[in-house]
Amino acid sequence: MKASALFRKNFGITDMGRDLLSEDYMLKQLTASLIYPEGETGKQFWAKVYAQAKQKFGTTEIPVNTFNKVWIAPDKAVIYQNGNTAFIAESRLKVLLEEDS
Amino acid sequence: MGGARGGVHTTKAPLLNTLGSQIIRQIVLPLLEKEINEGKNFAQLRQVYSGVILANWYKRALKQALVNQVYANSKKVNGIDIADKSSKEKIYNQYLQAYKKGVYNYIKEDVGILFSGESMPRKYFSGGCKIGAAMISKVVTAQEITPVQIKTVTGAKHPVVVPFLVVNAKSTAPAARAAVGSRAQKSDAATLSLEERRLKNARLANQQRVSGVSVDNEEGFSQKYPSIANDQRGIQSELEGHLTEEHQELLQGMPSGIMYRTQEAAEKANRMIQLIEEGKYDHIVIITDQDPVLAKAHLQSATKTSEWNNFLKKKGKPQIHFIDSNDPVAIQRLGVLQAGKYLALELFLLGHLVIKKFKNL
Repeated sequence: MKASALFRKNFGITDMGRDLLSEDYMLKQLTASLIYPEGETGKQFWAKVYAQAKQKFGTTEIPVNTFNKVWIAPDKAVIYQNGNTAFIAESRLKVLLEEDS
Repeated sequence: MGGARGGVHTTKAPLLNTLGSQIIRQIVLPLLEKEINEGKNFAQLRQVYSGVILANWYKRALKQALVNQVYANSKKVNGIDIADKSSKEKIYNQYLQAYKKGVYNYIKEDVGILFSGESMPRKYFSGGCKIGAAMISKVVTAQEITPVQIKTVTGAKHPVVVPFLVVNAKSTAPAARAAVGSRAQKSDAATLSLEERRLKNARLANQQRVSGVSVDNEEGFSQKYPSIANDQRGIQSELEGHLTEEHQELLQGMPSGIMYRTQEAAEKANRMIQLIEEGKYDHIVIITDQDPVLAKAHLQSATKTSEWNNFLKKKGKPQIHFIDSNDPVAIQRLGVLQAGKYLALELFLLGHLVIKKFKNL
């Protein structure tokens, strides 16, 4: 993917565009760190992968290429409206794998 | 995003990817979701989300507002644009760097407590990586080179498949050493000091460099070993035509016999085995252009033991090291081994021979 494909040109030169891009980068790093095999979650993750590989294929001596793109998407937004005024009462983001989005 | 490789390639890999995705959903995504909705690292993102929510409401609820009429859907950013227009590219470049280099990239000895208690070398990499046929698209090594020369060899323009590689780090005259045979080596060891032997070998190496044909490139190798080179050109063209098939076949079936296509190759192989068996070396270095972890796993699989280094140690046999010929750090590690003699072998295609021999230890 080219840099230009990440954002529309105009949006990319705003604070919001820059912040979103850097947050997305952080998301990728966080995901990588969560499956880092020395970390608590990573250990759990890989143990499960190998356990299931063993169960399904009878061996753990196979390459495991987990290629997962992670996306953030809006989950819920509740707005309280009073005349010409609005408040965000509730908002939530969700995380999906690319294949689920 | 991330991955680990260990063992042999099979057609099960795509299924495993699906399996990995399922576990990501179970374990990783909930944590990410919590961090994104509650963590301080994503406060800016939540702020942006709030802005987008309100902007949407504003556009829908106040269609007649002046700001809406002037600004909405007109892609105007004047006044809210940032001074550094290249920040998008800078962040993108960070992406690329992380993707190419990997957020992490290391080898870990996993102890399979779940199953057998055996340890298993695995490479964990997060980022982008070359897999499949690309792994053997350039197999470059030389028959007799010094560690310093390895860098040059791996930078060769054309792929060269050569039978095996003998390097003695202490002596810089591996070919001469191999040629004089084990008896001469024993004699050297008995009569000369370590330093004298080193100097003698260095002299031999220099003589060879002056008078001999360089074998660290395809042309030199072809001149010195025309029959092997001819044979290898055949192998090479076959490989280029069937990279994927050949790769799969090599990894799964591990066919042997390529070493024996020529008389000269067979003799070299026998000499190599003899050197190993006689314990002439403290270390065996297996140099591979493929994934060293994969190479290690081949050896492990063939020897039916995951603790083959301990196994060899008990037998008083040399220790084994795997070196990625494309990895400068790994190449530097060769220098560490210079405290002892070592035999370096190229695993690709011809490693089976070594593997077979280990089986019989």
